[in-house]
Amino acid sequence: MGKNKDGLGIEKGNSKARFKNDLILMALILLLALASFLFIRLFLKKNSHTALVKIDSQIVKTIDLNQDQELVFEGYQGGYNKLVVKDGQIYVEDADCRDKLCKNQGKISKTHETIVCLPHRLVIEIVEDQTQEQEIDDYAR
Amino acid sequence: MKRDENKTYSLAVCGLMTALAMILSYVEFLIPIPLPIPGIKLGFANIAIIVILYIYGQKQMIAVNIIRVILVSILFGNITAFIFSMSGAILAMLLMIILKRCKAFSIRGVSCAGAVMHNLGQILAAAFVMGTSAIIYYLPILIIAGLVCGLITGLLSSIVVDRMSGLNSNDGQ
Repeated sequence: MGKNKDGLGIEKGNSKARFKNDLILMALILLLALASFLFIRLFLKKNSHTALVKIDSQIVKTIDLNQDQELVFEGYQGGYNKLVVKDGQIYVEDADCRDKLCKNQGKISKTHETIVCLPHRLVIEIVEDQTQEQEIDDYAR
Repeated sequence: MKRDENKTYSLAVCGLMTALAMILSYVEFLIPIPLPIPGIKLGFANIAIIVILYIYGQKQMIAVNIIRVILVSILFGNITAFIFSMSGAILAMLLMIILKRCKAFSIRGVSCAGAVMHNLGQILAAAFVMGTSAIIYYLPILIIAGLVCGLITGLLSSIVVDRMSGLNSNDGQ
C-alpha cells in the first residue's frame, strides 16, 4: 500500500467513496447540531419575565419585564446604557459606547439570552422566573 | 504480526505516544480560546490518539488514552476535569473504533466523529455532575466546534499516519 496513496494516508482505490462517506458523516453531524439547536429553541427556552443587569459581574438590578419602563445605567468607568422594557422584552435603546454592539443585539425575552456591552462591562441576562417551587428548593439548600 | 510479539517495542511506543499526547494536551492548555464557552478545546491530543489507533491498534489506543487522561488531570486539572475528559474520551474511543472497523470512513471522518462524541460525553458528564440541564444550551455550538476541530486534527493526523506508515510499511489501514 506504500505507493497507492493520495498523500493523506488514504488508499486511492476507495478514497473517493470514503471522501463521500466523510462528507455524509459531517453533514449528519451538522444536522445533529441544527436539530439540537432547534430543539433547544423550541422546547427548552422559556419565556421569562425576569432580567438581571450586571455591571462588572455585580448584579445591580433585577428587572420585571412585565412593567414597561426605561432605565439608564452608568457603565464601568463612565458612559451610559439606556435600557427599554416593552412588551415583555428588554433591549438597549441607546448607549455612548464606541461600537454600539449592545444596540445591535436586539430584543431579548427568553431564558439564557444575554445582551453584553463589553466597553461598559454591562451584561443583561434573562433568568428563569422564581416560581414557588424554586424558592422552596433554594430554602431547602 | 511480529510487533505484537515484541512486547518491549510495543511498550516503548506506547510510552512515547503517551508522552506525546500529554505534551499536546499541555500545549492546548496553554493556548487560550477567545470564546466564553466551557469545554471548547483544540483537541491536539487527539492527533496522537488517532495516530496510535491507525498505526498500532485499538488496545494500544485505549491504554494510551486512559493513561493520558489520568496523568493530565493529575498534573493540570482536578477531579471534575478528570470526570469530564474521561467520559468524553471513552465515548469518543468507542465511536472511533466502531467507525474505523466499518472501514467506510477516512481518518478525517473518524476524527470528526470522535471529536464531536468527546464533546457530547463531556457535556453529558457536566450535566450529570452539576445536576443542571442548563449546560445543554451549549450543545449546538459544541457539536460545531467538535466538527471543525475534529476536521483539523483529522487532516493533521492523516498526514502523520501517512509519514509513519512509511516507516512501518506493513502497518496502518
